[in-house]
Amino acid sequence: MQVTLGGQERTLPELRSLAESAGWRLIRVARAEGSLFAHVVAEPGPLPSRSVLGTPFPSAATLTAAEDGEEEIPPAIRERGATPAMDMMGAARTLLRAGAGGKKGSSGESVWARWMQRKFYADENDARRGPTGLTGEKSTPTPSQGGQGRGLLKKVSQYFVEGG
Amino acid sequence: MHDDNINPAVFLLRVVCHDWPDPLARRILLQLRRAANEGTTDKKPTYLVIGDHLLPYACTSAKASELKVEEDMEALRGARWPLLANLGAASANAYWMDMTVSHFPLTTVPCV
Repeated sequence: MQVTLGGQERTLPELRSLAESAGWRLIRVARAEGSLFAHVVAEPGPLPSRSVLGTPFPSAATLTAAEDGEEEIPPAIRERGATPAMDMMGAARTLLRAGAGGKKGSSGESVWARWMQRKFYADENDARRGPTGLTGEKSTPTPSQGGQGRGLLKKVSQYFVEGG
Repeated sequence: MHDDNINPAVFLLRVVCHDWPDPLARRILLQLRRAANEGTTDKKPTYLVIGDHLLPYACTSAKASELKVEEDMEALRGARWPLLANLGAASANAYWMDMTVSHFPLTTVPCV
């Protein structure tokens, strides 16, 4: 379960931040001798505010909104959140695997090369990408149309949607 | 939601929190917090007992802790110079467990 769900072991400060963000105050910790396994006792503490608690079963949206809030999530927890960098690594690995398997783009380049091209020439590509995808040819940079303000992440996910 | 007629003494979460990333673990804890009885002068509150591995740091810190228990838990028993505060490889299993699971990108978990 731990692997499948993206779990983690925690230090005491991490567990304390987590518990306090959910309204529990740690009062006692006992570790079994010779083991790192511990039992931590907590009692109800001050409730984190508003949105999260107002909902019986907080939805993903509610929780995400809470993440965006300033005071609710202690920095120790915020720091553990997913970052764009982690997402990029996952995407890159997927593409590398596809490249190693010999999957080629329409112009004969490896998928990886196409991804790199999109990464570095994203604005140009946005401007000249047709329904068939990249042409692979060199062209003079053109002003981007609709490509501005879009993050790298969006570009990568778009890549997958297009079935690249 | 908390029901005054039901007063649970303890909620026990044993090796549950470590299965979940923080936002989802928080969701579990919040649900229990809502169902908990906050206690009064003559009534004990509902306690929460979390059973999990607690990873000690390899070094003790000079910073004063906000929470007394953190000082007590900082170094493992018998771990004094020249031994590491976490006794190094002698307690490596829990760290391995963390490293084994931490390769998993959190972004693939819905709702994170």
